[in-house]
Amino acid sequence: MKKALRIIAAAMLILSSALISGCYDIVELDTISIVTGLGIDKADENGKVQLTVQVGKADAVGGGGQEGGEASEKAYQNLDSVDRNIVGALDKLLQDNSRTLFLHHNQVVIFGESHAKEGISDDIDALMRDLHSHLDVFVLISETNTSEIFNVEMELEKIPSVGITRMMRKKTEISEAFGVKMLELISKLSDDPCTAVLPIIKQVKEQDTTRLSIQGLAVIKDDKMVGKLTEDQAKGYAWALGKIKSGYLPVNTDKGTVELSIKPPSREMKVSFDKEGIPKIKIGIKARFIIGQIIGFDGLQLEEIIEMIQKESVNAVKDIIISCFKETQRLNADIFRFGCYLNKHHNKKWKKIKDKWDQIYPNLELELTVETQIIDTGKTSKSPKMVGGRLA
Amino acid sequence: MIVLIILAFIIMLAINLPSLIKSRDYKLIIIYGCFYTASFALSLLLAMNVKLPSILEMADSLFKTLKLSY
Amino acid sequence: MTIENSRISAGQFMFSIACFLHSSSLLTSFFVIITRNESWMPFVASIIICIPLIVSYVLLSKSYPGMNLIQINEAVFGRVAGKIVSALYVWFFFTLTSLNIRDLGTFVNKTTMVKTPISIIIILFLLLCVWSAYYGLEVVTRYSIVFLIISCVILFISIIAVYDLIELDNFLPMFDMPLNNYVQVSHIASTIPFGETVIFLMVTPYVDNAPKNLMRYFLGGFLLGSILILIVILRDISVLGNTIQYFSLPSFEVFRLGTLFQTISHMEIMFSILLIVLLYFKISVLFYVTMLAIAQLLNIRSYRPILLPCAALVVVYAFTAFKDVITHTKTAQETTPFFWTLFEILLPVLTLIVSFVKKKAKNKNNRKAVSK
Repeated sequence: MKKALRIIAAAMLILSSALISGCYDIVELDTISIVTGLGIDKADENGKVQLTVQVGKADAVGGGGQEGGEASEKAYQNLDSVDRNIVGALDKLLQDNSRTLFLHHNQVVIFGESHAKEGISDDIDALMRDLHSHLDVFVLISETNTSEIFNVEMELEKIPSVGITRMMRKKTEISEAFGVKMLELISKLSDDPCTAVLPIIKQVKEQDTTRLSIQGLAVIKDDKMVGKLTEDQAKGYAWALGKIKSGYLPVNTDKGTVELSIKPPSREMKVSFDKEGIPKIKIGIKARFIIGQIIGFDGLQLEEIIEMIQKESVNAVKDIIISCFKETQRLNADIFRFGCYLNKHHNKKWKKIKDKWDQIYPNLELELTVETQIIDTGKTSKSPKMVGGRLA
Repeated sequence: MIVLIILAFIIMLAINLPSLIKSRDYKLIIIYGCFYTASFALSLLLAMNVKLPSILEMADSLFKTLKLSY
Repeated sequence: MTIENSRISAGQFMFSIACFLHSSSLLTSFFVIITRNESWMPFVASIIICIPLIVSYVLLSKSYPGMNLIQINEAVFGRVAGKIVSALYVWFFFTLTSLNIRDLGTFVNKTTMVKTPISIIIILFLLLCVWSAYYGLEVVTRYSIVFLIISCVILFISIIAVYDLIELDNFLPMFDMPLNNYVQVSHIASTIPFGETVIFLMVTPYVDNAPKNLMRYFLGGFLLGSILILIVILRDISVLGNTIQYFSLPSFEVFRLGTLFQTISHMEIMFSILLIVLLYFKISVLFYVTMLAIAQLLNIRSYRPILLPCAALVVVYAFTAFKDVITHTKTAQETTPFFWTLFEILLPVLTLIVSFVKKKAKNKNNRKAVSK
């Protein structure tokens, strides 16, 4: 009797191992389509959104080493649907698709400009709430319709959204402030002042090819897009935050121009308050450069050039930051997050002026102190046109 | 669902009853019987979607009326 | 009579308290939502407040050596009142078991196995707990050291993985919120993770070398576990900053954001494993203590036969305790601290006071008898 019970118990244990594999939730690789990019636009019909989903085909990417014959097969597929909001649109896509959409590996979320002007926080709520979406996706704004962006073929990348992610990673090497991930966006929009910047992606048409280009920044205030910054103003934004890591700064003098290669600066911020509690912000930047190219300066010594350049570069950095600052004052968007800094470091004084920040910011005084240092001259020290060179 | 529950409880009886009867500890058998019938009845009621009262929710409203809450 | 025959070493005791407490580190969302990026301050305050509480538990256990909580209640309050107080405790342990296993089922359902019915997950877990409780205390607490080491390793790896996302700026501003919030969070933290260590009063008589070094091991386990939770909270706040108020599982999101060496990313599976392992330990200790308490209260020779029916009752209770997750969270923030205070602070301290008074009265009587 005991032996029989043991055999039954053993049989039940072995059978129950089928339960352990989680048979309810089995997901086979050929029943899912892996989403690599999401695009959200304003649809032609009023009050609806158009969702474009870029799906990467796993087998096409893997077998891409073969030449000829396979060349015409695209490694991606774009699906789109129009519905009242993102969740409805995703749901609708299931109707036409033979596979379930797998959002787990989504890498980029692009908002269309016209949609961003009406507010993006509802979409962010859906993307935060969904179980499978991640917070380290890159967020961008596109000037045209996102379905066009997703259709642009890139020479070196098989799937455009993967290519866009890689382009964003390169952008963050210029400055951390240029690449915005979802977590950062949510964090910025949750706290006073509710402003953020997002990089802009656009199509550039040259002759018979189109390519993608990420230039400039879009300014988001209170979850709506209110304006744009050009690439130079974007650099000024990065300088003001002290987060610029590479790139070139042109410095013009009447004797010639020097292109200075930027090394990471150090930055200090201090706030002083006047009698009414209005803050005055002082930013001190210590910039370091390496000479990238010397244009002109015929017949001068290296030391004289460096002296001229050091004085002019101070003005160059100040100009680039102030032009960005003035543009944000015009848009009344505190993208440098001075309000946030005041909240953290000068909490009590911030509470008094919090409600008036929209009136204070356009007239805010910014005092910039810039010190520059040219730490190296590159591989060579003299240029062919300078004293001692044969071309002088 | 109800069939599964009844099956599970019969298996439970089969596992426990022989050793209980052998031990002749009547107090233990009575207590076992009480727990068994209570759990059997409550599981069946739950499977039939009868709403069982929740002590914690009653305590919650009690504490709220006593103003002992945040 | 002894229902429980096995003995556990003092080290096992200390590590099981630490492991028990550390399992609450993964479900910090109850109070983190209220004080957001300043949650660590009321948490430290509650650690300090709970130290005298733990000391009082140990004093209670030392004044009645070799007796677990139910036996102490009978000795202090007399037979009838003692049984009533013990019955209250039994209900409390039962509730804790059901709520925790409901949390485990909800978590596994929400994050990993979305379509599996919760009842199957809960029943399978509970069968495992029944199995370990069948063999007694030593088996239940045997793996505490291993689980704790695994969780410390995973904690360390996660801190390395999110290292570049940590911003110390996220801890500011400090003292920004109304005082009520801090008091509320301190209260929640002292009752929901820390106060539940009152169940270890059922286990103390079976520890080797008790009661000599009991204070050291109980306090040591408590401090170890609570400091591990503090590290987790600090990590979550420094990575998520002010977005911590949105997520129901902040540690889950932190694991999702972490990247190791640019290849290993989205490590939430490690969090799932850690949660399941630690919560399993907590539930099996709670279940064992509940069974021991029932057996002690009803004065039967062994809890083994009633394991399965009580497991079924736990499952039923888990489903009926709260209608849904939202009510559960809201109640946990608002009234549960006060309710648990009754069982974790008021009752043990009352027991301690009455036992002192009784002992003093006995000493007086003895002296009177001697002097006569």
